[in-house]
Amino acid sequence: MKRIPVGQLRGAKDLIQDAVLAGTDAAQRLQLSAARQPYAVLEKIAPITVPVRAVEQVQTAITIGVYGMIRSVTRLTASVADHALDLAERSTDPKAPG
Amino acid sequence: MNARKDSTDRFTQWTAAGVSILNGAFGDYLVRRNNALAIDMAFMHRGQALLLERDALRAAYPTSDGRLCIFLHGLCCNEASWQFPDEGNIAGQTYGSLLQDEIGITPLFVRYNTGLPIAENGRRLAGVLNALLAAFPVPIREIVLIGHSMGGLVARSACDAARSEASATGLGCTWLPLLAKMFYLGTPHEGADLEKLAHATTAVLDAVPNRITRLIGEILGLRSEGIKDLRAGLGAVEPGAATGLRDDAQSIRHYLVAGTLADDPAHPVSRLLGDGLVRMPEPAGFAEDGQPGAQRVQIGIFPGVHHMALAHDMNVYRQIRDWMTDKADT
Repeated sequence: MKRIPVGQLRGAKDLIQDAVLAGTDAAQRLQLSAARQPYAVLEKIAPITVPVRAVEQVQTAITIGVYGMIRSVTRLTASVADHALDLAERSTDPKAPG
Repeated sequence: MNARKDSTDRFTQWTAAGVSILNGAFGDYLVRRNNALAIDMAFMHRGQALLLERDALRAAYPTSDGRLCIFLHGLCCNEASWQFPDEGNIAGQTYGSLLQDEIGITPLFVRYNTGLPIAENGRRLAGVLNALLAAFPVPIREIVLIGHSMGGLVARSACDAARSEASATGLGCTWLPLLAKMFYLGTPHEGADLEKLAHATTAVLDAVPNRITRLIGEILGLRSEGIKDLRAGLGAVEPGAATGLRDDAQSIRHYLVAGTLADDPAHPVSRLLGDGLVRMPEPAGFAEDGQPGAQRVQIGIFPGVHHMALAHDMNVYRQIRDWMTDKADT
């Protein structure tokens, strides 16, 4: 069975990680910007300005939290994959100790 | 056993093809990020990068007489693009292997990161040719460059780089005086329409005041510098003009090969779309009869041969072989 070189697997992992993180940043930016629009209209109505801002802050915090979670899980998964690739590299490298 | 070997070969080819596509699309990004998928320019022999050392070269090309034919693939491709399709009695052969059998010239296949700027690949090619010249086990007598699509631009760019380096260092160029012929198969000398369209689309999407269209524009803009360089090309091939082929390269002969989608080159589809990706060269864009260098540029049109097929078509091969062996032409 022909195997893909570990270096190429690591490169693919790095590329996927970069793509997920860049995609997450772009999606967060887009969502925050889209969500701002109705709040911008609603906060102009004087009696509800304060609660509208409060709701927006809560929603923004939740949005940032969710995207932050996606980034954290991505980095954790990438780190686990790195360890697995390190092990694979050591097992295929005849000069590796042990 | 054979079925297993075939599936292993196919797996290796698919993996290499995938990596080459990624390099074409994002090769400059891969280099910037020091990603292990980035391809280093190398001569490939039986699927492996060849060490530019005398013993390795002697083992790879034991019968070489010092005449070399160097093949440069196009965007998002690798040396497998030169292989004839898996059918008929020439399956797996290449222009290189056929030329070796028929006229004894030694074929070398380059693999490179097509996402890098064309000028950068040209510099790298000039460098590896110098290294090849220094290490080759027999004296090199003649070099022929055959570029498919972007490969033709890289070949021209290597000539530029070699001349610039020679004039900057005051030393003569080692390999350029040995360059006898350059073949361009479906090369977008004056730019590729698809990249022009992509550039215009990106500009329009960026100008629209909408975050979705801007995001799409940003994603389109991620394409590699190599692809973006195809928008302008390098201009028409004009021996003796400012295309990097002046002075010491006056004697180089240039051969342009173009395909057309329709069987009739005069058909509007052929005129508009050329081989599907690159339009036919305009005769006006090249040296005309009576002008210096006119005999040094020849054009071959191949009706019904699409862009990718130009790298492995029997009629194109025959034309290349005939031009290679044309005594009146040497």
